[in-house]
Amino acid sequence: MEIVMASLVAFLFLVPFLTRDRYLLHILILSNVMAILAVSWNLVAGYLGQLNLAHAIFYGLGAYASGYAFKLFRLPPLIGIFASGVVAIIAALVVGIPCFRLKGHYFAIATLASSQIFYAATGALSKITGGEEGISGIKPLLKSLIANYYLFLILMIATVFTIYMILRSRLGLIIRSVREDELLSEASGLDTMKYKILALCISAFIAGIIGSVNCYYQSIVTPDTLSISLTFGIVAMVIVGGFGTLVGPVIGAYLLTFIAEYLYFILQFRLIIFSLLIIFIILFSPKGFLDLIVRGMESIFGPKMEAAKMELGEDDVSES
Amino acid sequence: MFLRVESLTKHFGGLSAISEVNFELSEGDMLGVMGPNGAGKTTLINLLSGFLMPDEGNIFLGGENLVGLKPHRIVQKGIARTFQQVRKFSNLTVFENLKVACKVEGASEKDLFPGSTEKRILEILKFVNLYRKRDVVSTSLPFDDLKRLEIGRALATSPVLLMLDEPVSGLTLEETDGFIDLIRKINSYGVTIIVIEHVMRALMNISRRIIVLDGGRKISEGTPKEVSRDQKVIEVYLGEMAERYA
Amino acid sequence: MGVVQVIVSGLIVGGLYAVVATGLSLTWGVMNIVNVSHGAFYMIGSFITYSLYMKLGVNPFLSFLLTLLIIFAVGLVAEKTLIHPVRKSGENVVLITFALAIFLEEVARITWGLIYRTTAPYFKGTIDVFGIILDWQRVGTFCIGILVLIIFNMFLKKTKIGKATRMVEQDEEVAMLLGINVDRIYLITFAIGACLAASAASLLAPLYLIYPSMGWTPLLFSFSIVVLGGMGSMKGTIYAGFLFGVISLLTTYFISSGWVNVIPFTILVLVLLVKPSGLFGREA
Repeated sequence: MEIVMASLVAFLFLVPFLTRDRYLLHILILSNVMAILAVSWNLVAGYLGQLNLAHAIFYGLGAYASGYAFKLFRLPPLIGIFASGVVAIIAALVVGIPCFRLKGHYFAIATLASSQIFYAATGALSKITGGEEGISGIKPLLKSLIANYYLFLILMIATVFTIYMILRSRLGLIIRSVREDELLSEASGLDTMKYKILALCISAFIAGIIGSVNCYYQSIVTPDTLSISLTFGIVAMVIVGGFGTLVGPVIGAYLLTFIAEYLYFILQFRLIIFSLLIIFIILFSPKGFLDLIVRGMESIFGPKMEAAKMELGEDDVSES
Repeated sequence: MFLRVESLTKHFGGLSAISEVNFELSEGDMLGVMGPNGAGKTTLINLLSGFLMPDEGNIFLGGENLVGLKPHRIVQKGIARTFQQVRKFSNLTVFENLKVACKVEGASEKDLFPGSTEKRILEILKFVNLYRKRDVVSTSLPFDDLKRLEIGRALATSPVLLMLDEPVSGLTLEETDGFIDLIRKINSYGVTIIVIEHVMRALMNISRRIIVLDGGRKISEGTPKEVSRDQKVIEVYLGEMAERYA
Repeated sequence: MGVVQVIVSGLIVGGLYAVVATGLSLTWGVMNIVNVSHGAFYMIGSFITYSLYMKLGVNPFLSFLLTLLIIFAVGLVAEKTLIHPVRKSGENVVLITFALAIFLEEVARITWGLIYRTTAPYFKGTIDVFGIILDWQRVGTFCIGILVLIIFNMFLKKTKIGKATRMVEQDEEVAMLLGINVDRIYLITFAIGACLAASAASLLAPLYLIYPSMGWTPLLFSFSIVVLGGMGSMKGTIYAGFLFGVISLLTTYFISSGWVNVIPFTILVLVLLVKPSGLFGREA
């Protein structure tokens, strides 16, 4: 399985040499942005077991922070990116500390409600935030499309690697233990609140950073970076790709981004398709699309897939 | 005094789950807690481990009042507990189950199982007889191994006081004897123990002293022999038996 | 005088908030699920009323009833196909109702488009109460809303199904042992919850703009109200609904309408921080 992964990654590195299609490169960049959002969301959703429906907020605030850093303060991009990360962490604290007092699915809707505060603020503070039109005219980090392509690809790989290292660390073990049995974790001497918040902050930080970098790439920041439909898109990608797996969210992100962008003649139906897809998956295969594929392959190829499953880092998330 | 519990009281709505309970423990004691169903035994452990806040009363561990501390803080102070309904981290291996409970820095030389985290866990696993199954995912463990895992996990937190909630319930006679030896051994290393049990054989054999609860109140206290002769205790248990066989 | 007027108007609209929130509180309390599509049912209710009243010329009263009927049916189908299979996992219910909400929003967008719509008033004219000028539309809407709550309350207390529902809310296992068909109760509860949302939507159609993504605000308002009033307390929900109405309108009056969403949610966050069980709620 590792060979398959490695060759896919290598292939992605070679893409700019294989094609001149600027649109394709742009879509792949978008896929990587979504992949980073999906993987970072999955740390809290799949591995910690908490449905944070405010994830888009961390991304959007990161984007706006960089937007301001450039437009208002004329700060260099590196500081802008750093500021975005900090802003995202602060937002994670503001959202997490009250919301984690609720458990499970109540936490989910609490985060959804909290996210509305920020979304509504962009409207209410439209003089500062630029309202519907947002902030525009931000100078890009890198000029060439190809350079940007590699930047986002590297960031995506770095994100996956970071999450992988976290999962292997003591923090990762603690996060998984909280998901399995929060009460038992407390009884084992762990301050579960602290670790939940920590996981959320890490997740938010990554989202904020990519929001920032994307802001420089797009040269514009709009309120839809904070929208519920963006969060929904992220959720869809992780469900499709596979909750609680390391690589699943990436696959889900690529898949759904390509579907959304290339089937542009049905662009207006894409959210309907996503929502039906999610409903289908939750009803029939809660572990995700990836699991469906793995199980399908298992029936054809047999036990070899057990080893593959373990290398994918699949952690059995018993959702149902 | 190592542990001093004063006037501990807890109500649930109109019900008094625990009412003015007092007792003391010296370091190294082995205290048994018995009483009919609903007497408040598990509530007592929940109060001592911080999962419930008492309405009145104090809990002193070596002079420090533990009331109001969150459960993880109490564990860090050295009080560990097991659960009546066996709990585990399902998708983690036996080894990982213990690793979660271990303090980061490992344990000092004074500890029951000193050394680095890795070494400690393996020692504890050997001690509770789960060494060979250390890489097995905990969901596939048989019942008695899960009971061992509970104890192992509690030991991993380096406790000075270990509270066991029905550690041998559901075990065969042979397994029960094994556990009795295990618990005695833990105590022989200096860990203070509180045991709640229904299985009289275990309770009488482990405890040096026993307190008896009924309806949230302490109705008797003494050595196992004294308690088993106490008229009040007999009545309460006869009463329960009468109810059961009525 | 202006402030008193605002407060009274706030109480009036608060009554309708209470209706919507009660719908959410119902599914929350009885089924132990968070219905993320609650706002979507509200939104669809608005659109159906709009189409019936404005496009087909059906009289308002009939439109209201038909809306309820349609939403009830949709609610039944949704519960049977989507909620029932995944009821055991709260997280899956959140995800599936989230998907349903997005689905309904898109259906609305494709069917009716993105234009902001509104309906003509049901009642005309104004009334002067102790110097406060109120329009009949608001007063009439409020009265019907209160009527809905009263009927609902009677349903819970007097009818067999209502009593069974309350029993399920108390303790599902005991209810099952008593021979109550819990699945059927859940089915009806979900549909009624959706109906409550739609009834408020239908009544408020002349007063607020109707557009596909309008559902999120009622959902999150309802959530805030239920948390504020105390989860598991219908009485608390109603009081909190009124409170929210007043706070919302005071916010609009003193600050601006842009902040209307921010203030209530800030209150929610504060409540969660200080007393998660709400004003009237039982300890979690």
